[in-house]
Amino acid sequence: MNSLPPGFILILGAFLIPFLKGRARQALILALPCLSLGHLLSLPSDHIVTAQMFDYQLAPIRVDKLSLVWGYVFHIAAGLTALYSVHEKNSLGHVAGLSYAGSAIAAAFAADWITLFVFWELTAITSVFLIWARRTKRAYTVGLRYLLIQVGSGVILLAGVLIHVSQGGSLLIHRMGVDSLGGKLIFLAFGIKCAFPLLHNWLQDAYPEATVSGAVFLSAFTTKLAIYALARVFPGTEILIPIGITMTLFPILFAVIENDLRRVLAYSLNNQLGYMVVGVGIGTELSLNGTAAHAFAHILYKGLLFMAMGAVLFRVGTVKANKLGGLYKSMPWTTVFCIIGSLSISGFPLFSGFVTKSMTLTAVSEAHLAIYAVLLLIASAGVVDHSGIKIPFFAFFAHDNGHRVKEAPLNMLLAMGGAAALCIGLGLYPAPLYKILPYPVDYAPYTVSHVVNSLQLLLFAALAFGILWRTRIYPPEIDAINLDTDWIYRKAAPPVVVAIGRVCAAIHKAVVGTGAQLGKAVLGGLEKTHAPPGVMGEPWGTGATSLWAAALLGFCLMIYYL
Amino acid sequence: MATSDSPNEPPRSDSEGPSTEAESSSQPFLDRTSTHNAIFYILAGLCVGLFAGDALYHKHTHFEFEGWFGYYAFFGFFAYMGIVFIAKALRTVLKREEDYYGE
Repeated sequence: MNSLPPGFILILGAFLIPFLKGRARQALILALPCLSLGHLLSLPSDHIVTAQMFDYQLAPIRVDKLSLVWGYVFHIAAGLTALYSVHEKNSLGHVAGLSYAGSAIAAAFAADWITLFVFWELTAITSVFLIWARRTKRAYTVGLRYLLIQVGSGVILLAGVLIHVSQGGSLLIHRMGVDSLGGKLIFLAFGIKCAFPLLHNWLQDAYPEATVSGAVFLSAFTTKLAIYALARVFPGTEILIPIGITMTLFPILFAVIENDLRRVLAYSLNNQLGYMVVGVGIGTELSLNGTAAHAFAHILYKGLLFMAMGAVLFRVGTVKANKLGGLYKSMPWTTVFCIIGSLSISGFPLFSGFVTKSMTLTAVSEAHLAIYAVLLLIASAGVVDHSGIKIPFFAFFAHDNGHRVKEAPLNMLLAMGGAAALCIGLGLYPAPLYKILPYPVDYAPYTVSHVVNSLQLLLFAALAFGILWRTRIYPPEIDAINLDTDWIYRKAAPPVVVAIGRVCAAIHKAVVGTGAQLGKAVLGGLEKTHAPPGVMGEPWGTGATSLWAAALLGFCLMIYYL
Repeated sequence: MATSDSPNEPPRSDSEGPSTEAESSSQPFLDRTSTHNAIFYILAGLCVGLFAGDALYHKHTHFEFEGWFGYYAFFGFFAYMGIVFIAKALRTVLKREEDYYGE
């Protein structure tokens, strides 16, 4: 069992789901993440498995402190999401979700580029079915776009790896720079999956179109796998700091004016990734610990928020902010869990975000990057808006739109409850999380300064919302979308491509047309001389033939003697 | 900007509309205007307390400006306001109809 890559039990086991029915099927769905976690825990630490493929030395499994953080939290996320979705009758979502989770886990433990590439692509291929499972025309189109970009990231990764290896680089994954072409391409491939600025829009395009549980699965794995890959290969790469800062800031503005609450969460996810990217860019032990801890906490609270909005979508049929409101009366438990997720993401003391995000912020301050520290603080105020206030406020309170629905199903509530308990548990007692981080932790989140300053920031931001809301200055939720970079390939590029196609067609027509006319002229000429009425077309008499044959033979004879 | 036909109704203030005490008391607790006002004023009270609290402890800072009195309070308030106003301005440029992409 030690040579079985972590996550394989999920990938293979998922394909048994369609063959079972009823309770047995539900039991399998819930058992697979547990079995897979059991397998991971049974592996010795600092364990590496190598394999020979042709002339290449591969290493499909590397268990160390960095990969274990992601291994643990990916399993927790897979387990909670499996519980959240266990009531769903259709097998497609279960198979896609669990094999996707397994692929991401296997990728996190891959220690060579080929294995990473295989699972990198497998996460793309399995996860697109979480969007297509919605079975609408729109989901189909969005899924195609998502798949193109995700598979494209894998192809760029492979190109980078091939160049890296052809220039004498190792097939084993280790730290590298962005100076070489191979390094640049690998960095770009990671950047696409990590939703770097301008490469980000697949995320906001695709996640809100996924199924109820599909979006919960999606929120956990792809982007955090990319964060892991960055932390593994590019720690201390300084360009990541401004990239990460930009990621924390820009999505906030879009989140404020977005009406679809699952899209708000997608923008917010993008913003949270920014903190992790900054942590990787600084590259100190504290900042890398911060990235790992934040990824761990983030997967749980972001999953929780997606679960809460999924429950609303499941019961009400929409997550448009202007169509919701007053749901706390019908879905009180979901409301409470959602608020716990909101407090966690905002970094409220006693909740998980407080003990993890601050590690990165402290690392930025310790590196004396004053401007970046200020910008990250602005982003933290933004998080209060989009995830801290907007999500729970517009869904469950605000203006009552009269929806009287049932509370979310029990399994959804249990999954949300589990995630919420972990959010509070990590906030109250972060020691177990700090213990599994890649480097020794010498960090105390609960100092008077930190608690008071955080409360000041958060409550004054909330006060600002209160004033803007009461004075009706706060931008209203309306039926509208906002342009983002996907405008380039959804609106601007298609007419250009069509125009280029038209020009090509015209050139093709002109060339083929001219060729046809030319051919016709030549053939017409030949027909005149070589068809029956023409000189060459008439059959010759026997005498004339033998005369010409004799003349030809005579001519050859003359040449021979000459 | 769709400020004129706002579909979100901010809570009515006491000075306007038919929100009398008698009507309010028949509504669920969290729907009452009086509750909304109470929440807002409690929040404001907490903020005042936290602001004043800056005088009571030694602030651990990395940068000089962090030590300014009420720095985080001002920062939270104005950063939030700034974000909302920039986002509002951005909406005037980026807003499109829902079927803009025709999907």
